[in-house]
Amino acid sequence: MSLEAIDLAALIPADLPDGREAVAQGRALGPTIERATSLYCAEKGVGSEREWRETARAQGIPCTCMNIGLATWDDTREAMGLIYEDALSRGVRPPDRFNLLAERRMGLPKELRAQAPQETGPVLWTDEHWWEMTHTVPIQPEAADNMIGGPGSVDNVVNALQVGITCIGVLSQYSWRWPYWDDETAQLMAVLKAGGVLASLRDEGVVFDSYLEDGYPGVFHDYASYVGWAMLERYVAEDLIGAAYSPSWGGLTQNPIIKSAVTLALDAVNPDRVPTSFIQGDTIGYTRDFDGNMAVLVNDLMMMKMTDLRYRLGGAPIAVPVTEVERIPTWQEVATVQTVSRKCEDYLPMMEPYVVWGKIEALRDELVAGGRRFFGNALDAMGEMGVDVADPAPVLLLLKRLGPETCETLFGAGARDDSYLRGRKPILETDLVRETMKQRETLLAGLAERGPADGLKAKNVVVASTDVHEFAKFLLTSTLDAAGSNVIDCGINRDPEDIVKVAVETAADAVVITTHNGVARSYGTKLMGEMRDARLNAPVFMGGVLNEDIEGSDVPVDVRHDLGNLGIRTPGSIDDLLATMEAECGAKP
Amino acid sequence: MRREAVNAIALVDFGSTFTKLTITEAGTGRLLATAQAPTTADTDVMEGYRAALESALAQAPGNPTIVRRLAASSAGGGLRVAAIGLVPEYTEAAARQAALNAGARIVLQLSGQLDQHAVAALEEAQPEIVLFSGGTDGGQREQVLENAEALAAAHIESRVVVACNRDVASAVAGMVAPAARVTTVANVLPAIGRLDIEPARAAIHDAFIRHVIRGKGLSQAREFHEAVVMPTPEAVLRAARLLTAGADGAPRADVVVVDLGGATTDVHAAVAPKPAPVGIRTAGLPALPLRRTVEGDLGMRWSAPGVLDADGDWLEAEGRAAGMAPDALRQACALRQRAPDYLPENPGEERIDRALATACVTHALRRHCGSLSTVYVPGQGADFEQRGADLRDVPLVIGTGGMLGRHAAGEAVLRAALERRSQGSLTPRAPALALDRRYVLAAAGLLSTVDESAARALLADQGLAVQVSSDAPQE
Repeated sequence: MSLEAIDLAALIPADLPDGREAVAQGRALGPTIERATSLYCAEKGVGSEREWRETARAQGIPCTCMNIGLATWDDTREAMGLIYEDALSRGVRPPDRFNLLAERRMGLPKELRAQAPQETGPVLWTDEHWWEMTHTVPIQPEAADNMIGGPGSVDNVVNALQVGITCIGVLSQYSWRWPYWDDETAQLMAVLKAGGVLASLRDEGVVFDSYLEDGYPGVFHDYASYVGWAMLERYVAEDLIGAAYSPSWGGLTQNPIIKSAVTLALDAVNPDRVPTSFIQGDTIGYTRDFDGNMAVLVNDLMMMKMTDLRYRLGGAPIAVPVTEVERIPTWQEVATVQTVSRKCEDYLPMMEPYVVWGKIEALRDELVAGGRRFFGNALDAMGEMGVDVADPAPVLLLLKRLGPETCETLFGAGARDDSYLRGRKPILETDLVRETMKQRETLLAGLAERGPADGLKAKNVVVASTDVHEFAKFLLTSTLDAAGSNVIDCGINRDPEDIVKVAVETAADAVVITTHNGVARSYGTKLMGEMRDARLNAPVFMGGVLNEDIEGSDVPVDVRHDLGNLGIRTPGSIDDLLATMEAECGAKP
Repeated sequence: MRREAVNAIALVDFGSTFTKLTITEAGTGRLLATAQAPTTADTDVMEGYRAALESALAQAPGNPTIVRRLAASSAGGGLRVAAIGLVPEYTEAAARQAALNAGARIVLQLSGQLDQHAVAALEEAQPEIVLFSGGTDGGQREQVLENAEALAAAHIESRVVVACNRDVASAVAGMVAPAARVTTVANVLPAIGRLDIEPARAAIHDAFIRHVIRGKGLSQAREFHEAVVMPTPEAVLRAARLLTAGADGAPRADVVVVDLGGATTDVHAAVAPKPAPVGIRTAGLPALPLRRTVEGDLGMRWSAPGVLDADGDWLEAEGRAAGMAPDALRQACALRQRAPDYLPENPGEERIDRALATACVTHALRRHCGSLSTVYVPGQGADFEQRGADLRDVPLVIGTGGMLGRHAAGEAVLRAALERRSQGSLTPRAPALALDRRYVLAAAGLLSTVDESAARALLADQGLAVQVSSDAPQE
């Protein structure tokens, strides 16, 4: 469908400043920053991390990365030293780099950080903290989480460059919201100015990193969309801003072969071959069996390292501590998996030549073709909507405001197929979708095991979501359908009035609402009022995230009790829902 | 020299004011003559017909022999229908659409719980047909039965078409009127998201031919009752459908017909079904391949004040450009309402007529076509909702009736209205335009009941055909 009828004014404010001016301000600021050299770069004799990566990949030297962020910077710094010493004591090369997992307050402008509530992770409060990032041990840091993306982007970029950090992210986090900050335009301009600073130092090896899963790709259904999204970010970062762009990724993918293909696809759409800053280890394959997690770790690492070596990507895979599924890992747990990572490198020459790379390359090529379609569709659509695609501000803001579901639905590369949640058959389904389908299978198997749910058979059940989240609704409709109910799917983003109108015509036996956007209480109140007015007395069930910002509370509070008072049932799982519904609906003739 | 006798078909439209006659050659559809005469509803409408026939035969080449007579009628107030449903956006809208596609004039729409006011409204409207709907199949029963009870209490002589939840349809039929006056058909809305208006439309059509037209007392002549095969608007809709199909019946291209009248502006659209757009949430009833809408507040004479209400700012600006102050504009509209046979007497008044026509067409198209709304919800993203049909790529828009037919400015009016597209509106973007200058659309619709290819030829001969380019984009 042509998108020229879309009201762009509803998405992009008329007074949005020109993003090119913010970039120009950053470009002017960059060269004025006095930059030190990190211990790592000094040790390698290079001017930037990128320069070393290019050397390393040419020579076939594997690099590694770790994530670290303990409660305070002091704890984190101390852990860094211990991890470094531990590697030396075991006779392995220490990690090449680390991503600092800073606390969210780092995303705010400096002057606002102290006022915002404390969360988990370190904050770099002083210039000394920053200096210690690059001058504690020769492990090169990336200024990662919460550095670029928020309103404090420029402060962070300046600090990072001053101490010798040459890879700074995370572009994809521009779609985040920071606590106590609602000025979306100022946030965007800060990101663009920070990008301009990085652009001014592109020739000196400074890189603008992103981590795809921190942005919309984290909820995409198709890996081709990942590739297309990376192309969009690259278009903004390189073509419009002028920086060197690196799309890091990987945490939400378990299948090592798919991960290899996607990594290669991302390399194929990286015309300057900027080395990928890091490849995140699998964070979804782990269970609470820490020993068993070792298998996940090693397979993930081996495939990523073989891919990196064979195709000379210059990436740095991250080994995820096997305990991370349960807690923030200790320094020893980080050190252990770093050692495993280095030991894996010994096996690369033995195994890599015997991998059937042709199949992976074929998958890569499909993803690249799909990614290009996604990218082309997005630029075409923006053109139809009247967006100035030469200005990074409206491009980024439009993408942000469309939201991940709409972006993928509108721009997706797959062929039209309404049996898929986003209306297209994915080129290659993401593990997120696979996980959902697995959950669905589990639910259906449970139903089959319990036997016929007579109380649910032929009942008219109206199902809707209050927001854009479709997975929960998909699981609900699938399960109720399998239980023999006549499911009336009202869709996503539905108002209470919409649901009641459908319930009137269909004489709903039950109404099931899934909600994840923090409106449970007000939505429930309105829905029950509308039901009463329409003389409907079908039971109403709500599930999902049952909270809401209540006056006087700092954070959204649980409203299940209020919903109960309204007469709304709040079963804790789909299994519970089926049991409760069967009891209630089955009792009615 | 002996001229060969021509067998001809007389195609008649008994309108509320004029009886319009088209004579075509049987078998070919060649237009032989058109004529019109005042409708003689006060005596016998066949008198007006005969006057028109005399005039037409005088113009026709050769010496045609009328071998068949087919007629449509909107005389005597048209086909007056009340549409009843439960929820305005669902069953009421479905019932309304079924009635409009049958060529009806909707005199009353009711939904929700029918109370004494609703019953009083029914009694006052005295519709010729009540289309009763409510509930999906397997859905609402109680509220539908309550409404049936209320309908049964109304003192009306209407025929009733029951097209509600099939589970209660026979119970409803038994309640609402004596069996002889009730027809039960399939539900107009069997499920949310599924429309099935054809059985109800056909039942209304059937009731019109068998009962309603006779009851109007328009003529005592048997030939009149034999000739009338449909209400006039249905004939135009049939013509629109004819334009969209090739000789083999396969869909060719979409078409929109705008019929500008003194009291209403009707829009007929015949469009090939399209899949719902990806990424756009659709709301309301699903799009129909054949759809007629009627705007009762948009018309050149009786409804002129309504046009001013609908498009006041724009009309006032046009009025000022023509040297007419807002008060004078209001008076001009009131005059047109009081004197429906008013003809503009000077260029300023003509300009007002053109502006009124443009406003009627603009708003009738906007209401007929769908719209796309854009909502941004922080934290959730954008939500695009399409309501109604996307007719932006329709390749042909035909104007008929009043200024859109015979007037020199007809095409300019149509173009001006199409250029007044509003944000989010899914009206045709760049269609070719054609005018039904000799008023053959309804005639072709009638002719198609006996000879589709002749009807197609009649339209093509008048320039009313969709030009399909070989490189036309395919959805």
